[in-house]
Amino acid sequence: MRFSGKTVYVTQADTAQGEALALRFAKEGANLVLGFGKEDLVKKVEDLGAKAMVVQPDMLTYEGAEALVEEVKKTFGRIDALIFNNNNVVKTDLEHLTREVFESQLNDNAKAAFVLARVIGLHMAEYHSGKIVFVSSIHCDKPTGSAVMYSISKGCINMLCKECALFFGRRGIQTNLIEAGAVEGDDEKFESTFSPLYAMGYMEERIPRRKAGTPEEIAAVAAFLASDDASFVNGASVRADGGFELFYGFKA
Amino acid sequence: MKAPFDLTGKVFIVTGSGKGIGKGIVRCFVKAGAKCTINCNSNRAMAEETLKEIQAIGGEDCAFLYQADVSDYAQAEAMAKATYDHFGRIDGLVNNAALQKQWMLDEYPIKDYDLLMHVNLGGYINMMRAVLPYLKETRGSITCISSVHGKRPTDFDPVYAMTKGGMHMLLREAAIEFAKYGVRVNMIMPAGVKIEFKTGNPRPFQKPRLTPPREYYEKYPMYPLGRHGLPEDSGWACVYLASQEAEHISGACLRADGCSMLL
Repeated sequence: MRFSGKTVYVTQADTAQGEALALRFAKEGANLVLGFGKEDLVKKVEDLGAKAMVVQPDMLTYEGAEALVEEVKKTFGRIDALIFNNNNVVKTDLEHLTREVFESQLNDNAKAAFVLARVIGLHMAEYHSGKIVFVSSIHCDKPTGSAVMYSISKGCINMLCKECALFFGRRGIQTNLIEAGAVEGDDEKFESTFSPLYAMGYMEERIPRRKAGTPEEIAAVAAFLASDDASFVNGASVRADGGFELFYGFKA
Repeated sequence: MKAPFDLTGKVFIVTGSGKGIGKGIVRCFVKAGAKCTINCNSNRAMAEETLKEIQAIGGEDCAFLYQADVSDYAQAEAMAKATYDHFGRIDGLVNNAALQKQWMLDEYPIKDYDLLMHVNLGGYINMMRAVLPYLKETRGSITCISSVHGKRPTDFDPVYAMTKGGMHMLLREAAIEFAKYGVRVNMIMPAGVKIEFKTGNPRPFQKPRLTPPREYYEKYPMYPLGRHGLPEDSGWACVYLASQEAEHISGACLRADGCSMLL
């Protein structure tokens, strides 16, 4: 088992993607730190023979993240991998953007990533080993036409990943990013009034295999990137969208 | 018949144009026949010098100085209105006002993280929203000055790179959203640009990085075309992107870096 004796921190574990990540790592032997995880998820993880703890850190301050590291140290000793899974989507166009949405989208998706990567990266650097995986989105490159601040925050993470790959790469840590896309439910989440990308009923038609991705399939990529199998993968963006982004018309 | 790239009668706001790249952009716009609002935030004395210099090129009424902090939406909106009141129209915006702090990841003060996000990203967004009503009337254009660090990391200021990465998506979202108004949005990515004046950064280039011997740089220059960037390199690109000739160009990114990013 690739993660025996290792501790993996999954943020936003109270989402479908967070749960799939937690269960994947639990199956591979990891101890789980579940950001905002619910009780039933803790039970599911424990049923797989893994240990779990729930944390509710303040992800927007260094102090909050440092307190989280101290808390985890007491239970599991250290963190071996950070799986940054914050993906809050607030629909807005640029023309009608409010200050509140600007702040909340950047805070939830980008500032939390910066704070956690910095603090947990420095913690892992003490051991000269560790992994950071950003579960990001194809919208770090492809515009949504429906949630501008979401894609802007994902654009920020793209560069954060590359900066971490250099800075922490010299300290024994690999940092990578998943461009997840066309996962179940995305067509509702991102439906646009002018971009045909998620035209309702057509998302699956755009995927060559004609079936949306699942959180489990994204979790499998995250498990690879967080494992020692990916020891020479650093600063990479792995697109996991079934080829959705490549298709732009409607052919047979 | 008008010469290509002629901007006679057009009006532009160039943020952060009291000095540096912004000043070079204004210089090019004015030479192409346009009128400009010169914007500064902190260094008004220097911006007044710039205003005089620009007026010497394009005449007394080619430029107008407006002091505003673009990270504050109310000030951005007021600058757009003042420009409209002064010149009677707005044909384009160049988003250029941005900061760099040069902290490494482990030493980055969180207040500087917030500052960079609010100026480099928030300021660009504020200005785009503030000018949009005027650009709808003229089917105008927006050009954002980004950096090669929207694509490759800095290794000296991670938050600067994050803001430029966010800008990459701001460009793309704005381009598809504003297309319905005939408003185009494009981007220029310079690398190192030699400006006549360094900003008030308390520790410019203080961090020693990998420093190979002089012979290395003599043999392998950082800029294949033989020189670092100049403000006008971005300026003439802005003139093109704002011109009628670029009417089918939107959401595009032009790297104006002397080919340096490819090394």
